[in-house]
Order: sequence, then structure tokens, then C-alpha cells
Amino acid sequence: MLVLALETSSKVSSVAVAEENRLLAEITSESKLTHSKTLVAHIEKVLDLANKDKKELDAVAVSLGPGSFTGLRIGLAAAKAIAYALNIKIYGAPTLQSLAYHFAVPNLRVVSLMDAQKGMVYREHYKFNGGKLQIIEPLSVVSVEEARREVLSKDEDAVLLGEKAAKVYEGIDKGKIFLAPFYERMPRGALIARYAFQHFENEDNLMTLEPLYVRRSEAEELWEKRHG
Amino acid sequence: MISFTTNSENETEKIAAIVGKHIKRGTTLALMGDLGAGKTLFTKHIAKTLEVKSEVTSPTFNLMNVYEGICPIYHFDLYRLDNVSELYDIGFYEYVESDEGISVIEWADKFRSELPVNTVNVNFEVLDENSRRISFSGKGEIAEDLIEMLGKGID
Repeated sequence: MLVLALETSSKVSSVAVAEENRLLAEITSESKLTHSKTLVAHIEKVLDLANKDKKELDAVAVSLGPGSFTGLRIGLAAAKAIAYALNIKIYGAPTLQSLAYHFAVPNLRVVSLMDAQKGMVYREHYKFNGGKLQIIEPLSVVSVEEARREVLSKDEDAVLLGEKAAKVYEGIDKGKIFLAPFYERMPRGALIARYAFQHFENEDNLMTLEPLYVRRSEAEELWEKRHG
Repeated sequence: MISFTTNSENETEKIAAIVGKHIKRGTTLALMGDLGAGKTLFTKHIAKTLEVKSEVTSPTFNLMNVYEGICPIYHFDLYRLDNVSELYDIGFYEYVESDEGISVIEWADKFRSELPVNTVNVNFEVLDENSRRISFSGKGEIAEDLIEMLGKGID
């Protein structure tokens, strides 16, 4: 199965072409250019680097979020258009879970942290047992401080990754908590392709696939209004 | 706070030019004032100073325009919006928290509590057909610096 994978859920733009667990080509960049300008050009380049024609693609995989609303829409719109035009399968991969596969190793709490704006982060905690991902703390929106407190309170080996990892890591300079190096912190196309291989029998529906939007609960919004 | 009374579009343009010259990336300008008070005109002149070549029109219908100049300008019009959730829907926070560009927000007073720290309030008051009082205020360092520059730029 030849997969084109798109990851535009944050400022990082990453496009990969992969087949059966082999990465043929990937462009990952975190520049000031917007996805709407770079994405299609990167897709063309990556196909070229992989020495593949778009007609050879069997599927397109796309990062579903949560993340940047604008980025997710650009990614989804491109993925849907490609899947529709080429009449191929589409897979929507959850962003934070996919990101965790940077550290698919046992005995480590893997914490994915992405920007939810206004000092908030999307966060989810995982552990890998026998290579299988387990969700330890389910996806939610918390403040940077709360995300930091949570990690500190666990008192076990943990790695922080995602665009907000460095922010959450501030003030934690020792102990069991480890900030992933920048190149293993970023969401990447290859990780989105991985999802498609793992779930190849469970393709998504092109017409109904939507970004994963996670909102703060209404209670939190109200609390903020009252307490400013 | 600093206020100016302008008696023509030309005079408004001069103030906008000073703002355009000194404004820093990552600043949000919150424009407030009635319909026809000159918010869009002011935005046009700032965009011109920032070397935007494309046409600047109020994004009342499409909620946001992006112009490319010396840096990106995110031009919002919140007139048609009522709920904070709608701001999330249009990616509002992603733009106003960006340090790449400048955000200019018309009808910003509808969502005062949602404006970022680096906000400069620009209030337009209609005095008569051609005259406006334009006031700049804000609490952050960015606002204070800009107000200081405005004080130096015009006697």
C-alpha cells in the first residue's frame, strides 16, 4: 500500500510518502510560510523524491487534530480532494496519539502536548506495552500549569513532546521528566502514514471525515468569564 | 492614552502612517467605533504603509482577510459574530497570538475579554461629517511604546 501522509495540525508542515512500513520520502518544515502556500508544492516534491506518480497512490492519510483549526482544515481539504480525485482510501489519524509513536518504548509515560491557544494545551498521556499504545490520561484541554503539575505529580519516567512540550517543561530541570529533542518533538508525516498501515482495514469515509475538535468544557468557559 | 482630532481623511492617513511605521509584529489593533467612523479607512492606510499591494476591504462577510506586506496583516471584522465559540471556529486565537503578523480587528469591543495582552485599543469617535477623534490606549508594553511613538510623531 502506497500512502501519502499529510500533517498540518500545527506550524509544522510535514508530507510523507511511504509503503509497507518504509518511508520513501518526507519533507518536514517549520517555516514562517503558511500551509496554504506550501502544502501542494510539498506534495509534488515528495512524490518526485519518492519517484512515484500520484496515480500509484493507494491511500492518503491526514492528521485529524486536535490542533490549529486553520491548519487542520487545509490538511483535510487537500486530503479529501486528493482521495476523491484519485478515488483512493482516506485515513484520519489522531494527532497526539500519532505523535506519541516517536517514543514507542516500554516503561515510559509519553505525554503529547499541542497548542490550544490562550495558555491552554491539548494533552494526552500514553504508555506502550508490548509495542501497543495505551491511553493513560485521556485527551483534554488543560492550562500549561495544570499540564506541568500533572506530569510532576506522577513521579515516574516521562517524556514530553509536541509543540508545547518546551513550554510545559519550563521550570522542570531535573528528575525523571525528559524533554524530547526538537526533532523528536514535532508531528511528522511518517507518523501519520504509520497510522494508515496499522488501520488499513478501517478506512474512513471521505464524505464524513472531520477534524477532531476538542473544546474546553462550557463550565470552564463560564468559570473563566466569572474569574477573568 | 493619546487622542487626536482629525478634520479630513488626509489627516487620518498621517496618523495611520505613523502607526504603520512603528507597529511591531505580534501587535493587535482593536478598532472600535460606529459604522462609518473610519475603521476600515484607517486599516487601509496602515496596510499601505506596510506595503500591502492588494485591495483592503472590510471582511464583514468573510470575517477575515489576510494581506501580505512587510509582514502578514490579519484583518478581522467581528460584527456578525456573537459567541466566543465562533472565534474558535475561525481560528481567531491562532492569528492574534501569532508573533509573525499584525492583527487589525474591527468591532473588537464585542469581544473585549478575548483580546490578547499585546492589544492597542483604537477608538473612533465621530465629531461631525469630516472630523473624528481617534484615541489610542492599552496596558501592555507594546501599547505604551506605540503611544509614545505617536506622541513624538505628531505635535
